This record gives sequence, C-alpha cells and structure tokens, in this order.
Amino acid sequence: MVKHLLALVITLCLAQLQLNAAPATKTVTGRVLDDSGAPLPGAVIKAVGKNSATAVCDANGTFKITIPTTPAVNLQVSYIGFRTETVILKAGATEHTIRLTPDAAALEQVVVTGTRTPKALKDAPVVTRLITADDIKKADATNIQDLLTEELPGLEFSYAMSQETSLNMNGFGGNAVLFLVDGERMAGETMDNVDYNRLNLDNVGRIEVVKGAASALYGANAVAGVVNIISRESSEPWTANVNTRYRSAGKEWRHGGSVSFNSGKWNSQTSVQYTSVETINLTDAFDTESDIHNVWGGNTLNAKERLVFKATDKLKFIARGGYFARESDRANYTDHYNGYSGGLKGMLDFGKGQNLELSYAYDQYDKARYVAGQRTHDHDYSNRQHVAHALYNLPLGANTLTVGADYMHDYLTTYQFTDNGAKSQYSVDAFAQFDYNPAKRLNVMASLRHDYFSNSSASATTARLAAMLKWTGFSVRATYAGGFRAPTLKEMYMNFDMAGIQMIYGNPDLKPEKSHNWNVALEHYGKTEGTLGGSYSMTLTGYMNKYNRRITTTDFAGDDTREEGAIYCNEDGVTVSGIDFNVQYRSDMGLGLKASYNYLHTSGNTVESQFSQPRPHTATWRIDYGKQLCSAYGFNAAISGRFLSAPQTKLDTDGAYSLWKFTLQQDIAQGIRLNLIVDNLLNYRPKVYHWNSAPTTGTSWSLGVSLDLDKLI
Amino acid sequence: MKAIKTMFAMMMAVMSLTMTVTACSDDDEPQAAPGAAKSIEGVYTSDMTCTVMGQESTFENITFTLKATSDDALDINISAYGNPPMAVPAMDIKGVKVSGTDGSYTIAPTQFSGTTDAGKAYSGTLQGTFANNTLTISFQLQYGAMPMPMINTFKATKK
Repeated sequence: MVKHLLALVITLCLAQLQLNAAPATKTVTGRVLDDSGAPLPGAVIKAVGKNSATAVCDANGTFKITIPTTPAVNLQVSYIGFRTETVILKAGATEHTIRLTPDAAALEQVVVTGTRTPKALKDAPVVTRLITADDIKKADATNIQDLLTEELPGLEFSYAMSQETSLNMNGFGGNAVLFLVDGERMAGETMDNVDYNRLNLDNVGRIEVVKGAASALYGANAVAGVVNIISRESSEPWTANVNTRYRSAGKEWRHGGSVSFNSGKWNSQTSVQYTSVETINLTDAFDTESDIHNVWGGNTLNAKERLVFKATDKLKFIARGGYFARESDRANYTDHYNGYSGGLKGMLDFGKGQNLELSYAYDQYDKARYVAGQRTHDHDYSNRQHVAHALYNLPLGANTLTVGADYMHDYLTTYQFTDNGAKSQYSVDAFAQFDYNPAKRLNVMASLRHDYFSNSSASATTARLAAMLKWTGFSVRATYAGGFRAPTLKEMYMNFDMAGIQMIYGNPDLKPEKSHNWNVALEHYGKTEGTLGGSYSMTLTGYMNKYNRRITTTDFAGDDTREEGAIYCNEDGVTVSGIDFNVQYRSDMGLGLKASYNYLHTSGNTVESQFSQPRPHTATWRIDYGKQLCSAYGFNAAISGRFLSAPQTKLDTDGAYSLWKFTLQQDIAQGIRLNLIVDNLLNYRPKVYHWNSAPTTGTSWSLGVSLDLDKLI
Repeated sequence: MKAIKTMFAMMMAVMSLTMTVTACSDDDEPQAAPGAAKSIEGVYTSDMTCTVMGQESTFENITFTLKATSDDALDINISAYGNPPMAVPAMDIKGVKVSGTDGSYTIAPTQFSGTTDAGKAYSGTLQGTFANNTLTISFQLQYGAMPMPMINTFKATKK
C-alpha cells in the first residue's frame, strides 16, 4: 500500500514537473498581402527568438503558426521580391493582417513599359527605372514634377514665360518625352508637353520610366523616353482613405480621398484630390536681374474613377473616367484648364500567356482665359483625341510574339490658328515585337513599327533591338532603339501674333523628328548577410543619342502674304551621350540607401532655350531608416537630396545648387499616417531667379495626415 | 464709438482752427512745414528706363504728375509711354502714401490695379524717394496679358 501511495505521489510530482516545464502556447492566424491587398501565397512566417516555429502561407495568403504565449514573440515575414518585415503582434488580436512592401532593390517587381509585356525588373531587356508606391508615399511630393526630379537625375523642370512648365530630360526637350497614364496618351499641351497637373499622385500604384527612345512600341514622342504612371488596383474587399496636407510654401492645402471596393467580379477605385496654393513672391518686385518674380497660385481639382468587371476568369473589362479643373492666377487674369478623359478596355486571356486587348480612349483638354470673372475668348483652346488600340500576345514556346495596331484622331482648335480655326488629322500604326529566348541566360527582343500621319502624309518606321545576357546576380543589356516625333497640328498650322512682339507661323512641310539611341547597361544585384543583411542592386548605363530634324523655330523674312516673324523648321542634329548610375540597398533591419548619378555631354545643336539648358552632372540620393516599434507605432525617417551642376551653356543662367530634404513618416494604429517634411534644409536661395532656378525662398515645411478608414474600422 | 468719432471731429476742428489762426497771426514767424505730399507735388519730366526680361530700354520725356490729396497722400499720373506692343497709356495711381520731413521723403510701396480705357487690365507696385530735390520712382507694371513685368525707374529734379 505504502509502495502504491509512493508511486502515485512520484507519478503526480513528475506529471506536475512536466506540466511546469511545457510552456503555454497560442495559435496565431492571419494573412500576408502585398501593398494592393493581393494575397502572397508562399510567404514564409518565422517566429523570432528561441522558438523556431515556421509557417508558409497558402493560396489565399493565409497562415497559422503556434508560438509561446510568453514572452511575446515577433514574427519575421519574408517573400521573394518583398522586404522582409519583423511584425510585432497586436495584443489580444486573433487575426493578423500583414502587408509587405515590394523591395525595389531586389529587382523582382514586375514592369510593363519597356516591353508591353509583364517582366520582372531584373529580366526586362530594357532598363526600367521604377518608382514604387512606397517611394511615392515617402516623398509625399506635391506633384509629378517634384517626384520625378527627386527620384531621377538628368531630369529638370523649369518655368517658362507665363509660368508654363518646360522639361529637360537627359539633354532632350519636354516634347521628346512621352507621358502615359496606364499606357494611354493624354491630349493637350502647356509648354512642351502635357499639363503635368493632370498627373496627380493620388492612387498611383507605381511609375515606370524608360530612358531612351521607345517609338517602336509607343510611336510618336517617345524620342527620349517614356514615363508611364500606373494606377493602383486594390484587392481588398473595400478601402477608404482621406488625407490632407499643409505646406508652408505658398500656404498650400491639399485634400484628397479615395474609395475602393472589390466584390470578386467588380472592382472600383474612385479618387478625388483638391489643391489650393497662394502666389509665392520669390524676389523683390523691382529685381531687374531675375527672370521670374512670382510662382503664381491657383487651385486644382482631379477626380478619377476606374471600374473593372471580371466577366469570367478569362474576360475582363476596364472602364475609366476622369475630370480635371485648374485655375491658375496671374497678375491681371486667370487661366482655366479643364480635362475630360474616358476609356473602355477589354482583355481576353486565352491562357498560357496568350491574350488580346482592345481599347478605346477619349481625352480632351481645354484652356480659356478669364479677366475679372469674364471669359475673354482670346485664349480658347481645345484638343480632343480619340484612340483605338489592339494588342495581341502569342506565346511560342519560350518566346512571345506581340502584335498591335492603333488609330488616333486628333482635333485641335486654338487661338494660335487663324481666326481661332480648327484642324484635325488621323494617324494609324502597326507594330510587332518578338521576345526571343534561345537560352535561359539570353533574351533578345526585336520590335518594328510603322506610323502614318494623314495631314502631312508623313510616315515613320522605327525599330528596336534589345539583347540581354544574364547569370546569377549579373546581367548585361545592349539596346538600339529608334524614336520619332511627328509634327503636331500646332507646329504645322500656327498663325499666331505673339502679343504684338512677333508673328509665329506653322509649317505643313515639316518632317518628323528622328532619334537613334544606343545604350549598354551592366547590372549586379544580390543579397548581403549578417547584421546588414538585405538586398542591393547596381546599374551602370552608358548611352548615346543621335537626334536629327528637331522641330524648332527660326527667323522668317516674310513673303507676299505674311509679314516677317518666326516659322517652324527642322534643325540639324545633336548628339547626346553620357552615363547613368543607380545603386540601391535595403537592409532587413530597416536601413535603406539609394543614389543615382547622371553625366551627359551634348554636341551639335544642343537642345537648349532661355528656359532650360542641359546640366552635365546631376545626382539624387536618399538614406532612410524605418522600424516598427510596437504593434501601434512605426516610423521611417529619411534624408534625401539632389544636386544639379551649372548648365552647359553660354547663356546667362542658373548655377549649380543642391537641395536637401528631411522626411519623417509615422504610422500610428495601423491606419493613421503622419508625414512631416522639412524641405530645403540648408535654406538655399538663388541670388538671381533664372527660368531654371529652384523656385524656392528657403526652408519650408509640410505636415500631412492620412487616414485609412478601412484599417481603423 | 460715436462719442470717440465726435471727440475726434472736435479735436480736428480745434486743430484746424488753431492752424488757421497760427497761419494768420504773424507773417514774420516761420512757416509750418507743409505736409510731405505737398512738399513733393509737382510735374516732373525726364527719361525713364524700362527693363523687360533683363532687356533695358529708355523712354524719353516721360511726365510724372504728383498731386497732393492730403498731407501724406498723393495721386500720381504717369504719362503714356512705349511703343506697340508695349505701348502703355497714361495711368493714375491714387492714394500713394508719403512720409518724411526736411526735404527727404519716402513714397511708400503701393500696390495698384486698374483698367485702361481700352479695357486692358493692369496692376503693379510703385515706390520711391525724394531727396536733394530729386524724385526717384520705381514701378513694376504687369500690363494686360503680358507674361513678364515691366520694371521702370524714373528720376527727375523738381523745378
């Protein structure tokens, strides 16, 4: 009996000891999503610390992992192409939603602009610079100009008379750069390109920039590069965001909001943004040396809707509409700008990469002048474009054949035509591209396109040949690309008395501008281990562009019917060559580095004007550090900047300068974001405000709040 | 408020009476200094430089007529100048404040705007000085839809 009792006591004691030794555990479940809300199947979840539990997300991005109750365990979440995040679990929550941010340094993100077919950055045979949604959030830029100049060296926006914006990109003028929104062109022009105010950054998923000619894929205007702004498409059931920002420069207010829903078949994205800014006095009213005295104020409204209907797994329709209104103040008048856009696209997926895309797009851009609230009708302008596209991809084993065709009807009525008249023309094109992959490490892409323009009977055939040789962590790319820009209706038919100073005449005999671009790019990317473990990439590109028949104006002596003035003409060529170097690094612990440098040299008829001249050396940089301190608070602090050397010109113009910026982004309670920016940290102020000077009066600051209502609720 | 206004009116009446009495009392006594505006009013004619986008040109025989409307305020008439397309008609700038004493005066920076008889809107800023019997006026003019301002400088001696 005693023996039995002793045995029982010992057994109970052992059992108790065992119970004491086994730690209490809990099962944590959740989903891992990308920044658009799409699930990331295969994402790996690992408990940090002694517990080595791991889990892998299923097809819906769902995971389940068992971890100790105490001490609190954090989860490390990783997925190829995305930044590895350490997540502090919210106490008491049973379901956790973890969002990963794409890792731009890993070059795994998919881009489409360089090839018109989806390819990972490291696999695209044409070097593509990607500005991610995360970059856009961190920059919190006022507009596309500020964002692009912060991200890309070799690119500069400057003011022209009447404060139209002039662009210089790698030694080319603005009209040599094609701006697209979701692959679609925009109507209208301000100085030498579209109205950049239409390109607001609300609801932008990413921006892809391809430097160099790309007319073999995109036709006219893709002479020096393509900037494609791609809308965000949320995969969440619903989202709602409101945001506001105040900026001390110009006492600028920006208010925005967006709503989206996703019900399986239907996906809708609606966004509205309104900005108002006061006139900034840059310099003394009696400063006779400066070209520019004020940055004029005004207000801008942008509204966009994008509706996707997935009829079946293979058939999808996308409808979109947009409205834009801008009032720009001047001393004695106000200019009004309006934009209307709409489109319908059908996408049929036959499977295994075979697909067909048909689309129609309409875009209209109007201008009018008002004095004391009354429309003067002496600056009426309307440009309307109807565009129809067809694009077909056919996989042939490891290769892909892409063929497409476009039709565009272009209508323009403007005060710069005789008696405010109207002109129109149509253009048609056809193109083909073969994506040839003869070996795993070799990719060759050949493209050919022919465009025809009705009024000038001009036509242009352009080609591109891109080859890429890649092996683990390295790649070499070599590209030849042709570009062209057809004369616009304005350049062909202008008959404009410029404020009585001189007449400017169009020229129907203009030839299309032509460019030939060669570049070679070396790329290296990989991962580092240890304390500074993370991913990095480096790209060094050498380029040369030969640019001929540039359309510009020259003196005109007059003839029997026309008085003397200036007339549009084709000019002899210019050669632009240089190098572009980009390096970026992102550590798993939250440190990020990014730097870019551009050198360019021009010879021949350098593309310059009094408003803008090429700068030989330009650079941009950013160093940032981010950390999630607890489940309810995380931050990212960044110092960024850009340097522009003195322009290569004989004109009396701007000198070299650099601007530095501090950004503090704070995420609170997983739905509140506070952004504080101190711009122009070193209080730089130009002595003389030339057209291409930085339009700053010194250090300024901005404070923004963004509320993700869906996350808060 | 009404009481203050009434008191102010009475003070003004007493002051003006005192000034009148003082002025009439004794011709041998020194004259009180006239208001700043009165001191510099007159008709001034000289050349005027006009800078547009860094390019300077000179317009000859431009007349500025300064007329005092109170002790410290002037109306300024600027004669027509320039050639097409920068032909600017005569314009009046009213209510320009003046301060100073003893032959040295400052014309305060003044914003102005208006519409010409031809219906063209204009606006700008004017400021100046008067010292050593010389009037110097700078005025920046945004004229009609001209995107760039005209920055003018006028210097003339009082006769």
